[in-house]
Amino acid sequence: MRTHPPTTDPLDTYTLNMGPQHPSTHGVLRLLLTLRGEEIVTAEPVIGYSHRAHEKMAENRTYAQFLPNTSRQDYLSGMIYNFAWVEAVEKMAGIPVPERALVARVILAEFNRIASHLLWIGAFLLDLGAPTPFLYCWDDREAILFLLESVTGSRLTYASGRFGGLARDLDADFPRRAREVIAKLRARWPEYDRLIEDNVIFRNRAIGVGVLTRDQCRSYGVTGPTLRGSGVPYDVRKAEPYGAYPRFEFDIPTRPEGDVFARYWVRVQEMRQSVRIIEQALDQLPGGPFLEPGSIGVKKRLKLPVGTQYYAVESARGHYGILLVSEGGAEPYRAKFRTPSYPNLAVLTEAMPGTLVADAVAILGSTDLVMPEVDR
Amino acid sequence: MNFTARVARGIKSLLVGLGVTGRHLVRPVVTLQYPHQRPDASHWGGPIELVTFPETGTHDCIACNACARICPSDCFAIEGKRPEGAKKMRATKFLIDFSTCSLCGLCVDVCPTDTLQYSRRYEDVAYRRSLTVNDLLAPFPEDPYFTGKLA
Ligand code: SF4
Ligand code: SF4
Repeated sequence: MRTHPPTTDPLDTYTLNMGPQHPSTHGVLRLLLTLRGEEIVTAEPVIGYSHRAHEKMAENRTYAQFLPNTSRQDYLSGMIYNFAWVEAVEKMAGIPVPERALVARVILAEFNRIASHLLWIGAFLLDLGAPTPFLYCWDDREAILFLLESVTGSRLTYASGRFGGLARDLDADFPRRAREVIAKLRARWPEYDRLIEDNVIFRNRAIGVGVLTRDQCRSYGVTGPTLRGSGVPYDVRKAEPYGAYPRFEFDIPTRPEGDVFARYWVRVQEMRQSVRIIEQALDQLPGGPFLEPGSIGVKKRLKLPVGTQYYAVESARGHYGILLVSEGGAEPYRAKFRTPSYPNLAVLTEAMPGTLVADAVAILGSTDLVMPEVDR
Repeated sequence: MNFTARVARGIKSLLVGLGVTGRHLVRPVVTLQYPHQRPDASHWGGPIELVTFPETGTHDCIACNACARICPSDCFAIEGKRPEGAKKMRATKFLIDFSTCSLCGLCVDVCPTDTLQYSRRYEDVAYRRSLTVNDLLAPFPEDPYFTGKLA
């Protein structure tokens, strides 16, 4: 890493606002950069531009009515967030979920994770000035979105979870179409490796840039691929298995370097692990109902017992947690969302100083931020 | 690795990448040539509409307002009247403000007579906000329950 002695002389530096409309901040993030020439002295994220008060909204609507809000927190892996809410409520209310729905949720969530990672690879490389992979990633992602649309009816902001199962069943043809999509993804992986991973320009811009150490990650609460790129094998799907995940075999890819390249590599490997999970799930997909028979779905108002409960899932960006407090009514007393992008953004104040402006774009991109999720 | 070897490796990686794009040049086009080609919207969940039941040739909305109650975005404006001698109400006004609808499908799930569904429309456009209010009774100019054809 380039190291220069830190400066405190105000005449030596100047301030640059990167964002909130900058294309490489992926949403409305403002980075207040203090620069000395091209070198970053401090980087301060300014957030809150897309604050929609999801937590407050949860307090004035029923549990079912909050379903469309969930996927709008992180619109890139909305399915995972939607199921997290459904599962948190199910756990607290003690609603049984049929086997088929449990396994189907895993399939849909993992496809959504791959779609999210594909979008990230495309957009991230676009930031680095490589528009070609973007088109291939988009092609692959389109196949997944089309598959998910055929089950849920939506392309991005899914509201397909129901308390006690799913809104719609996977049709009889779904496994075949899913396997087709997987075959398409598999065929493309060697191309990605040749086009991106071995590319000299990408390697020079990614290796050794924006190093985050384990301890930095730990102290900020960084999770997800960003943490695993720093060598910590923490994944909620393994650490606190939920849903049908304990039945499936998969590895947690990690890499010790903690640089931009490590974070890229971890995500690429994660897509392969997701495919592994999906294939096992398709093999094991049981028959039976997709919504618990006699379950209320959303037809009746659901009242949760008095209490407090925390439920966490692994989203495409890391540890997503829901703290639900119920006072027995049809609406939550309080719902707190622990979104992974927030600490992943906060840690950048440590990773950015000492790097160049062009590296700031690479570092920012490599953490895969979704600003509506930071602000909520 | 010495400098020459690194340069050679770098150039090779660029050529390999160029080979990947080159091969794509001769592969079939993946872009959908809209509007000459149309996407398959057979599973698409578009703006909510009323189901026409083949047995009656009309919808089955009893103006119970269950959909209006569950809708998180308050999209509905429903009024109903009881046809003479009938047990159930019939909707006389059914508006959905699509500009606030999030297509969550809760109304579809909650309807006791299963008379709501997603349409397959994906091209709705409007120049004015008032035009985003859909009159769901528009496809049903005459209600056979009110004209006495059905009871
Ligand atoms: S789909 Fe959801 S938001 Fe739209 S009208 Fe139905 S309940 Fe309301
Ligand atoms: S829930 Fe169904 S029957 Fe009741 S008002 Fe809505 S559309 Fe009509």
